Amino acid sequence: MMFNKKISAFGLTSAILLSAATAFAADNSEVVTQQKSLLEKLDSLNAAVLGLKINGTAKAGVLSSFSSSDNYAEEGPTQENQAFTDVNLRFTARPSSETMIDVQLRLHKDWQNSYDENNNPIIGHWFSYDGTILDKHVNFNLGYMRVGYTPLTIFTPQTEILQEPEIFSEKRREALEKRNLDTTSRRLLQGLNIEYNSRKLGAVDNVAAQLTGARLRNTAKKVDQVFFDFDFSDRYLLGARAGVEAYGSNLNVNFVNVFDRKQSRRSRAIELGDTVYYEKNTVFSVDANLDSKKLLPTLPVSFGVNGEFAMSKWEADYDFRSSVKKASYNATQGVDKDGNVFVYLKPVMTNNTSFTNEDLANEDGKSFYANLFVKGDISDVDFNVSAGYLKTDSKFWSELASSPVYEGRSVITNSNALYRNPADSALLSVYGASSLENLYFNVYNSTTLQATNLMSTNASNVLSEKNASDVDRTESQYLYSRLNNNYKNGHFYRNGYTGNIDKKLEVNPLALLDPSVSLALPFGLATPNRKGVTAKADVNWADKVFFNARFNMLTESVAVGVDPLTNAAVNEDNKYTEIAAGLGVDIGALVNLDRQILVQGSFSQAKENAYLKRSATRIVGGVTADIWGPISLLAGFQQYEKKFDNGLFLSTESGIDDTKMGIALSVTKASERLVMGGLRVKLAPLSYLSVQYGLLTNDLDYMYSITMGAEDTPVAAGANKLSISKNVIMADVTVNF
Amino acid sequence: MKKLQHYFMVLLAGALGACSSMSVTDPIAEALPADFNVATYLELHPELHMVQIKDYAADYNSQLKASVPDSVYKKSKSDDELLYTADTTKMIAIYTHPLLGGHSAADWTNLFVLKPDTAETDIAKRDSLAIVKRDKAVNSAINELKSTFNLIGVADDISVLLQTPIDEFAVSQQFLVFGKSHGWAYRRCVGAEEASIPRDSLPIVKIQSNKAASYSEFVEDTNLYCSDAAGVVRLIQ
Repeated sequence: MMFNKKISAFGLTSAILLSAATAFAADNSEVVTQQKSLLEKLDSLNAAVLGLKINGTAKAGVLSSFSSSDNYAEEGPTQENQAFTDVNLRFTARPSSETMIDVQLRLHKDWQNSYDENNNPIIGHWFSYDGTILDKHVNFNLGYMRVGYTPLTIFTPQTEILQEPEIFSEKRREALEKRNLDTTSRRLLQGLNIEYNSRKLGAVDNVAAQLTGARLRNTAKKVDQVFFDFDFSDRYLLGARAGVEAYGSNLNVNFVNVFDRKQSRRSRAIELGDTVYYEKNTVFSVDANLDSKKLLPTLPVSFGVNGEFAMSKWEADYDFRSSVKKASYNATQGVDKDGNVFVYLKPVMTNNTSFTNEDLANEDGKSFYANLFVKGDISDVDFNVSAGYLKTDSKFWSELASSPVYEGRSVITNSNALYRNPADSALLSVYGASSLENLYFNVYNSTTLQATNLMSTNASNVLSEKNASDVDRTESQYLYSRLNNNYKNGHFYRNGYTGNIDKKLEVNPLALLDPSVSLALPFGLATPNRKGVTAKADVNWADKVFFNARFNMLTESVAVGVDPLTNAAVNEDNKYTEIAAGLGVDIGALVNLDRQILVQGSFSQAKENAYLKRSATRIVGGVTADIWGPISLLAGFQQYEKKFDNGLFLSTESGIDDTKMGIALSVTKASERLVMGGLRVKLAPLSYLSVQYGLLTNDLDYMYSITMGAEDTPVAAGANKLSISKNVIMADVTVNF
Repeated sequence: MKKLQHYFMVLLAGALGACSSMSVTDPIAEALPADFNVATYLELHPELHMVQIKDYAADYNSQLKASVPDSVYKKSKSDDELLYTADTTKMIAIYTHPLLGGHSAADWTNLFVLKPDTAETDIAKRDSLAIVKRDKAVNSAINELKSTFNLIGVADDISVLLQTPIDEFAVSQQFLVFGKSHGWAYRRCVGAEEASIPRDSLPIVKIQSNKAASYSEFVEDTNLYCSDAAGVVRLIQ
């Protein structure tokens, strides 16, 4: 296992952040955390050791997915195999006890593609220099880092599934890890982060200040993508926060500024008619956390309030190169019918190619939330109950707090399947496979780079024997041979998670519409245009019985049209209701056995009453049990149903002119189920053999219409049901060192 | 070139200004005589109308050339010219139209008249030379017609050409840039002006008839002129 978490370096500066982190992420991975804690203790023992240390994991495994569906084409492939050895190496070098160099490397051997593999490159995915210096007053991170401020400034919204059994949470963590992500609410960034803590200063417990500077990957590719993971276009982040802590309460001010690099950001000149957009987003917020714990230490419970008020500014402008016709007059020589010469003024039009920058939008918004909480520990019952109110303007935008890490909508296993109805393949390419598949499965391939997997948008990179201006341009006959076997290995993922931070203009609308991201708050507390109440309760009785409950009631104001008489906008309220409850019982602990027999389950339902009339219901169950000696049983069941009563409209288009095919889709219902079970055998300390079986089923009800040709002639339409089931068998050996 | 551009910018600005306001502080509007009328000026100087039509036709053809492949353009050009030269009635109409060819009907017939060189004594040679000379004149007239007043691909050239939108601003500014300093009449003479001094008898004509060696040596005509019914240019006093 790999530990990207930097416990020492990322002291969470305020209790509010801590509460936020628990709210959105930490609960999900309780088991993982427990499992890790032992290793971390070992780690921290070693932490004081100076010099170079190598840790890591080695995992060798296979994954076979056998898929069946009536929708598949006769001869299509139904089986997909992965066989891999994945070695993660973590090098930590401590020149002194204060600072540390952390380099993490991944070696991935893809046995399925080993025949055409020459050399296998090592992927470096973590480089950082971290430390706690100046008498432990200053923490810093240089390079890769995870930084979180507050839920309205720098934050990562995570998917919350109550009482998610370990067989699932472990898979989710693994998929996240492949994208260098973790389950915390901190953002993965690359740059410099400095944090100062005064500690006790007179009456004040702590005065903290933090500065963060980072360069962000820009997700939009306006220019050539010549290698699989490289882009010139990027943005910058400047963040700062300062706070004071006294009597167990604290007050902080936070500032975040994200902006595009202008002009120099382009790796080539803007072409005529092309447009490049720039965005700038600044958020200023004040957050406070009042806690009675220090003032009333004798009480078994503590109570208080936390909240944040934020103001955002979002500015967008764009550059374009355009050709403007300009009229002017030329003094010209004329000759009359008798041959006399004279001068006249000749109107001439000249094309002036000009480079222009224009403003697109300039929006300000506010957001506010406040929570009342009561927490405590009464006779082994540890509880944390809170309820609050939030209100966010429709024009509020906080980019770094918005993009969730889970986006889903890819096809992970059996992506090579062929479908009889083109509407089915269109549906899968736009809507994606089941969210359960995206949440828990990932595929990692390393393949020789060649024409089919090298992406290019610029015509200059298209290998073609004909001119780019030719209408009937075809691929060069050398297209494949020229790029095949160039002995460069590319690493490719099929993974539902992303570390990309979307700009407002580039947000994928489906990320907002897919309830599996989150129905009411897809962008966490920073979701624009919401107001309402949220409440939650977490109870833990001596690590034997766990109970969680969630309740959210939020309203969004949706523009539905314009009043024909007054021309005023007509808004309609869309009400979101979310309820969730989960229960976990460790029977082993309850009946005083020396082993864990954890049985978990949860139910959640989310609904909206207008707009697409979406609803989502999730039922989770699972067992994590130590059976005998080194053998543990892990099992999980999850059923998830999404309904779009007003339909989720999607469309695709391919080809041009006569070969043009347009497919319009409207998804009405998605029913997904995942049943997984397996055994984990402890071979030796920190070494495990795991064998698992999973059955994934995905039913999609949808309507479609297909049009062909330049005239969009309808050729087929109707209701359809796509049912796919996948039997997945996984086996692996994992060694931690 | 830079200065020229600057000048055109000024003109352009003037054009915009002229559109937006007729305020007396407008330098260009002020420079025109108070009773200046573009329509009258055009009537007196049809060549200004003619050059705009000519330019329009050239512009039309070059745009056509740019928009289609070369082979297509060449084909339609030769097809069109064949039809054009076959239609003598049309050619005469264009040749003699005051706003197009600007010639008289007699000019056309005159083209076909043999003009033997009386000095040549060898009769046979004289006749053949006269034929060559006549053919040359006819050909050059026809060539000029088909290259200047011919819209490729358009059958009814005359009506389209006569609908050419006229840039009146260019016409009025021509008076300021050239016409005024060269003694062009800008309106018809009225009343006593009909008997005013003809421009031909003023010394400025003689001065201007000798080409100035440089711009600074050019002598501007500072008077204003009108044109009488017979077309004689007379001084406005």
